[in-house]
Amino acid sequence: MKQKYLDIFAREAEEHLQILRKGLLALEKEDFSAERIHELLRSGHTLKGSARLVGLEELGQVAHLIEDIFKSLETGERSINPELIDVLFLGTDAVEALIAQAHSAGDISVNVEQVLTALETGAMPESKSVSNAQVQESSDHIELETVRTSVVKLDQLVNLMGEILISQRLFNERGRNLRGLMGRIETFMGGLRKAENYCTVKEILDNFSQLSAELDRDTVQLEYLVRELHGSAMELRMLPLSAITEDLEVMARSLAREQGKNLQLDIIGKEVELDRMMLESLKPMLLHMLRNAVDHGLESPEERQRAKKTPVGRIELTARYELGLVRLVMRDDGNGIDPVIIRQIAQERGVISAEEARLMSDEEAVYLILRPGFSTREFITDVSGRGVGMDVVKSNIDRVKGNLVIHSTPGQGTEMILHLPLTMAVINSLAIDCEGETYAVPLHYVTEILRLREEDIFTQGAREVVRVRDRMLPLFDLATLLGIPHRASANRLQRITVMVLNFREQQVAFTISESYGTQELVAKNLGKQLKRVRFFSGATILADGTPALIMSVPDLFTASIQGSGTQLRKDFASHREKNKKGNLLVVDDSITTRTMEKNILETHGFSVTLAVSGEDALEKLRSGKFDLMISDVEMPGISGFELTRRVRSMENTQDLPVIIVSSLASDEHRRTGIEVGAQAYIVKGKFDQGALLETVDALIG
Amino acid sequence: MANDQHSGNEIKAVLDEMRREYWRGLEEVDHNAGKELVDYLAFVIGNENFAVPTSIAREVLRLPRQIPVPNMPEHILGVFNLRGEIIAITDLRPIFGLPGRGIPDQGKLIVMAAAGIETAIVVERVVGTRNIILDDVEPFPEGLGGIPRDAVTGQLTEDGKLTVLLDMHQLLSHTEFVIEQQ
Repeated sequence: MKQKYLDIFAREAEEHLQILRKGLLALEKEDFSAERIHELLRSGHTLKGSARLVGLEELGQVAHLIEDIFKSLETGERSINPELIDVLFLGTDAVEALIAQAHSAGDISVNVEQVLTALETGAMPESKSVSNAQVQESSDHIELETVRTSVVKLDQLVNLMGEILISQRLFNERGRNLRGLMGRIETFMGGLRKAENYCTVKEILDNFSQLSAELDRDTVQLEYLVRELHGSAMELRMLPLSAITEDLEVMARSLAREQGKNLQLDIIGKEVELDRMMLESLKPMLLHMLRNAVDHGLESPEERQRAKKTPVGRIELTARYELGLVRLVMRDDGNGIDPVIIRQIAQERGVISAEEARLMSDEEAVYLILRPGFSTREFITDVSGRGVGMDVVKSNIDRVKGNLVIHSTPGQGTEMILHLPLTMAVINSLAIDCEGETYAVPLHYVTEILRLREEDIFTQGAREVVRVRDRMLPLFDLATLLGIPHRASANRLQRITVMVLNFREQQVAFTISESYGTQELVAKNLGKQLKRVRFFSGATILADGTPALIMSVPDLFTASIQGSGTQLRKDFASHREKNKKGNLLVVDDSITTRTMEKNILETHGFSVTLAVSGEDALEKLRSGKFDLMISDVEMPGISGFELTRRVRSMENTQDLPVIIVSSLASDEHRRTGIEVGAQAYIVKGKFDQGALLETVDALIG
Repeated sequence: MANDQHSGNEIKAVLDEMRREYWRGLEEVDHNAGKELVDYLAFVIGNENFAVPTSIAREVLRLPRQIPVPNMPEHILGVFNLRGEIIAITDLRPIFGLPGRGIPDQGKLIVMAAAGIETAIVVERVVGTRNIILDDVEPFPEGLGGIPRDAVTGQLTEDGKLTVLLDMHQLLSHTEFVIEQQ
């Protein structure tokens, strides 16, 4: 623990040392003012205070004397002279050396006595070196083992690695193609008559096989290496949580002290590693959440006593890995968030209407603190406020594709659970198809994928909902929300795939075209030209090198609040209706056949129009709209073949499916039937209703 | 004899022509000396000729696999993968009020970097690179089509053909090229 405070102190001291040295240099150039002296005095004073806090007594003494000198300069008791400036420089060197000493655990000795004397007398000692340490050098030494590089370069590295992965997959593909070709050669070989030829081809083929096997082996090896390399490149961007926790602790402690509150802050899981960019986004979030917890959550010791709580308030921040994500929990035993007050404030600030406030559950109400416009300067003290509120936290979470859950018990405390991907660079995602395009959905938003049947869909109010494990979830069509046109597809309703997404404890179901399964994908931004695109947070590159857009789940949820739901029940109904009305034209000169066919088809839900001849049929085709025609061949006037030929040549009927039903059973007749453009030929002899219905269903079902 | 006479004249005519050509060439070299030359990349969009300084053109690509982005304005056709980076495809035709929409079958993309963004401009045909003498550039007449006036350096007329020189820095600074949706 002590080391941690020392680190914090060292960083603070470094700042003050810089101020002091800069100030002294200015004084040396006789550029001084009362403000400047006062600034230096304050630095000396802060150093003194902080040094004593971390138990560095000698350093405190040195700082104290430095402060005294500036005080006497400020009051005019003393005037500045070059020697005094030297003495002050000596003092700052001593401070630096003492910090190094504290770090090195005794390897560095500092001649404090000499420095103190010099500061007291204002006269430089004989020996000008304050310590045996080469302070500068010791800090350089650490630098040697690390290399600083820009994130841009790392990104480039990761990009190129991703491209290599793609080419490597193409190698796999080529290998497969090669094996396919070899199969063809083998088949060809079987037909070779001359033994000599056979042997030659066989030999070539054997060489081929060997080469192909070697290629496969090399490709596997390459794949393994490239994956390793890709992983290493990704890891370059990871840093432990401890990189940001110190600042959090300093802030929370000083804030608690200022407000006269007793705080015990425990941070568990500092070793958890996150993407550097992720940490950068996380820091302001955590700072804000922590500030809120200390400022609004934690009570004063008196209040705590009245509430029969321990005088010391506890805030615990825990980080751990969970299913490829990082789970951060910030828990305090403070006052909690009162949903009644929150509702009232939100209503006063116009964040929600009175009606909305009334309908909102207590669990929902606590999330109001995340809405823009909720926290304002008046409400939040200068500490947490700064003109922005928890909506900063929200927008940051959305950006890093995180999920925040808030639980609060008034009087007992608040728990905020934050799920974050480990990195912003790689996301575990579900690849889905929506109307022919592939999209990626960050996996931690996905609850499940289901197939939907008509009976799973219900109507609640004007909206459609779907029953998933006894819960009714609102149902939306993804393509409609995104504004993508639907492709015409006859069997859309036969296989409805639904993706259930969760966001802040809400679940919503979205219909999609297909789900392709999960993949680890490298997330990229859409470039400087597409700065912010509604519904998409970025893009990734699929195995074949094609880009795919990454869905912004928060955007989808926002849109679903205003968007209109699906109309699947209506679609199902009209689909049935359409099926029922499947309009058929039956052409036959025999009344028996006509009537029989009509009865069979009508009992199976088709609507049937009859024609007594080819000419009659053409007339009816001109005036009505049909989905299929069933025709006899031998009729007075034009034959069924001629009729079919004419149907094919007319613009409005050229795609009309035609079934020929005839007693002519020869292959010659069948061929003619197909040549003139009929889709099916049924021989009357073996005519049974099953064959006819099957054929009709196959053609227009 | 007559025939010889004729061919003799012809040879003389050819030689004269060559001489004239030679002197003209010399004059032209002199004429161009000291003139500022700029490398331009010329291309065709909506059946019109355009050119941009080669310095801003990163590369010319055949049409790559690209995907559409929903809810984009007409002039953003989609995105594609350029060595691991996502680049948007921009169609200048709707902006310039020129005919033709979508990606032409034999089209090409010219990746350009200007005004802080990188974008791929879809063109029907790339004509090639060429030197342009700045003195030959004429001012661009007001109100030609929908081309923003400030985005044009000038125009060049050769053999009755007009080539519009574009200032991509100005053009891409227009707000419609950067998409920032709510």
